[in-house]
Amino acid sequence: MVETLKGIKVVAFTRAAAGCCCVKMLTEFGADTVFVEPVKGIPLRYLNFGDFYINNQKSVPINMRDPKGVEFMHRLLEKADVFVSNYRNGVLKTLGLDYESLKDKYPKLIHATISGYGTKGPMKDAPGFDVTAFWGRAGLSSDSMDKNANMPLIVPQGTGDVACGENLAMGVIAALFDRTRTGKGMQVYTSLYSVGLFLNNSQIIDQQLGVKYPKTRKDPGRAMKNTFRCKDGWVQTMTLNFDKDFNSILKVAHLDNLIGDPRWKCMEDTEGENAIELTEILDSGFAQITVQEAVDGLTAADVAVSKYFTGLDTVTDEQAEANTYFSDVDTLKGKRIRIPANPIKFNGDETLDEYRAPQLGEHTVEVMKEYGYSDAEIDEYIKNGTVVAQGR
Amino acid sequence: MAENILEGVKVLDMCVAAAGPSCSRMLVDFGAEDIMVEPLEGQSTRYTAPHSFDFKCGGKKGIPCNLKTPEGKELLTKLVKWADVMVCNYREKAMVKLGFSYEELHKINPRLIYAHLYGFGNKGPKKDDPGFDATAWWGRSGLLVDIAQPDSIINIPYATGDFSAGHSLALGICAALYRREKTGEGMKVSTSLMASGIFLNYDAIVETQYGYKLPTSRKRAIRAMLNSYQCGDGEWISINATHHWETSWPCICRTIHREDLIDKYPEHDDTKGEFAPAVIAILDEEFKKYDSDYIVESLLSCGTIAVEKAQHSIDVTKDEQAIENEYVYEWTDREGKKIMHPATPIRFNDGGHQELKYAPMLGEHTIEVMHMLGYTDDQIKDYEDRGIVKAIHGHQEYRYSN
Repeated sequence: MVETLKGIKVVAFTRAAAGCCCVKMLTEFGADTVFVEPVKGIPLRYLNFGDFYINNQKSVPINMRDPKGVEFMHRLLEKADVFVSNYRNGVLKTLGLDYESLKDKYPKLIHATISGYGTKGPMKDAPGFDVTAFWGRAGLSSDSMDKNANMPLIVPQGTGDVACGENLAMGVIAALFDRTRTGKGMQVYTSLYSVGLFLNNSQIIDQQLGVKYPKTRKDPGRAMKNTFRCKDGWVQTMTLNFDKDFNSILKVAHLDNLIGDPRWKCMEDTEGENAIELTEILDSGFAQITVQEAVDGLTAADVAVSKYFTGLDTVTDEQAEANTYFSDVDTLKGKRIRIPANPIKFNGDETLDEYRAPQLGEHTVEVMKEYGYSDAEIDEYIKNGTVVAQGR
Repeated sequence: MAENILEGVKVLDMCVAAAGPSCSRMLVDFGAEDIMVEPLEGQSTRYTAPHSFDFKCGGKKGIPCNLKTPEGKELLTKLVKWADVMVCNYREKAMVKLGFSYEELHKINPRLIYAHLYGFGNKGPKKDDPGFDATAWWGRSGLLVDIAQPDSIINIPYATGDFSAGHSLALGICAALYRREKTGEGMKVSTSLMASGIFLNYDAIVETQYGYKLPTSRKRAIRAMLNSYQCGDGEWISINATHHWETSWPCICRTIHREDLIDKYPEHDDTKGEFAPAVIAILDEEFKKYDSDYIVESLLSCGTIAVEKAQHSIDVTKDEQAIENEYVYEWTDREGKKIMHPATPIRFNDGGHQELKYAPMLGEHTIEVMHMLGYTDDQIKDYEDRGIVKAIHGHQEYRYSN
């Protein structure tokens, strides 16, 4: 059981993946989260990976077009520590849920929002997905391409959303920490685009210093940070330490005859233009061995290497198993699968006691009672479509 | 500005390479004070990527110290007592060997938050192996292979995985700091490159368990209108035009001057699944006839289509969207060269960016830090003479090419 944020009340008014991920992090750290969904549920919950985003939250679908629904939201906010949303600012303003409208009413509230491209500039109101704002605009898609292959990436959907959600959660918790001293809430926000830029910092800085991207693996910049095709597949290598690793790589690739060759005496001899010739030589060596031989040999020599795991391979990876990187989950779709667990561990390897996504409206009655609604009121709200509730 | 959110928080920084320093950099951005203990010769990234070193270690104080000597250990112990947070990304076995395991440091300072960033976790067959983001974050998580088209490969961008894992750890540290305000107790926080990669790749990991096949090819994308296309100028664009078909599709057809296609595909479903490859083949031919700027502008004007050029990093530095939000800002390096730097993506209240300070020169803060810990000038000189610490006295010129 994780209890880092025990006692913190979160009101989630989220729809897109990035906002939901921020809420997920807070919830998995022990916060008590009421998820105010649209009455039909958010589209994400109906996807195969929906469970990932809404697990362990209390689902309370509220019709925010109904004044009584808005009043219910305010009852929640009155007791809340954190409000998280990814609706565009115009929507929040219309509903009276933007920071300006709430800050005086709830001075202790942390108001956290995510946008696609930021709160200013020509794209501030444009729709943003992680494939466009995070990968596309921030330069990651373009710079990761192999120049010769001339093939774009199949951008891994959701990765940017998680990175962005984690960033917002970091800001929220830092603000909670600050509140223990000041007693005051504040506004915290980020965007898919800015997180993409920040994660792409190396390429952005490098290119301004004259390094060219995209690269090809035949002209990789650093010969020892590259992909190599073995007899039966690819491996990825990486090193920062020439003295420790260069000879080991030569040995594993059966290029022992080149040990001591005056062409490569230090890291610089393997970089930039020097990397081209060396890559050709290393290619010829790796082509003679299997992936297993490369991985075993380099690992034994303490050189960083990985075979190409597929997403599906990770589910049965003993390394992931040993470190509890997965939770076994019975999903909303009725299938038992393994879902990546929270990557942040406190003290031991404690995991959630139960990992479960709520049915739509599963907690409406419970939460309404907790917030002082009578049975008659609850029935009336359900009848009028102000809320959606299960089991009533 | 973020500068006072973690004001007063003291960080002992035992980080190398990229992932660890990227974690403590976030804490520095939020206002924490950071003292970085380096090997005597300095971290390797000081020399291999000096501008990147500024980006990761800007604003930190540095003290090069030989931790294998008894005096070095004693100095570190004093810093452990001083600190609220210790961040490290050495391998766990190295920390144990030095006598700086969680258990040891917890005894010295029970309020300490001990934050460890591993390559592959602290259990399992890979726990002692070297991990970089290229291998542990990209390779082991499934991202590397599932992101490339069949028979293609990608060139992994530097340090993206490091920063992602560093952010996760910083998030955990913030939570532990908050918890400490309630309990008075420190705790251990950890993550790994591998865990972070797997977490970000949840979509592919879950979908493939439902039977979805990866890697896939853009020529056989499930939705023709959620795909990437190459334009006549060689640039790639990524399009999501799956919503509001009645306006989105005619807009696309008009943009490429193929109005004849409007009625041929009256519903979005006519361009999905088994029908997608034929549509993609047509669009591949047509998009090649136009420049990317024209296509992007025309599709954006439709209002219902998300479209983005796969922007090169160098373009980012001139992007008004990035500049206006202070996502990039002009930063002047120690030699006077101006570079556009990405700014911390998390903003508080008024939303300004944090100005990055310079990374410390090797030994720049040794005297200041040792004075703070109660060492006398004679002791400092003695430590220098015996090769326990390195210190800069007075002013020293900095050269990136050093």
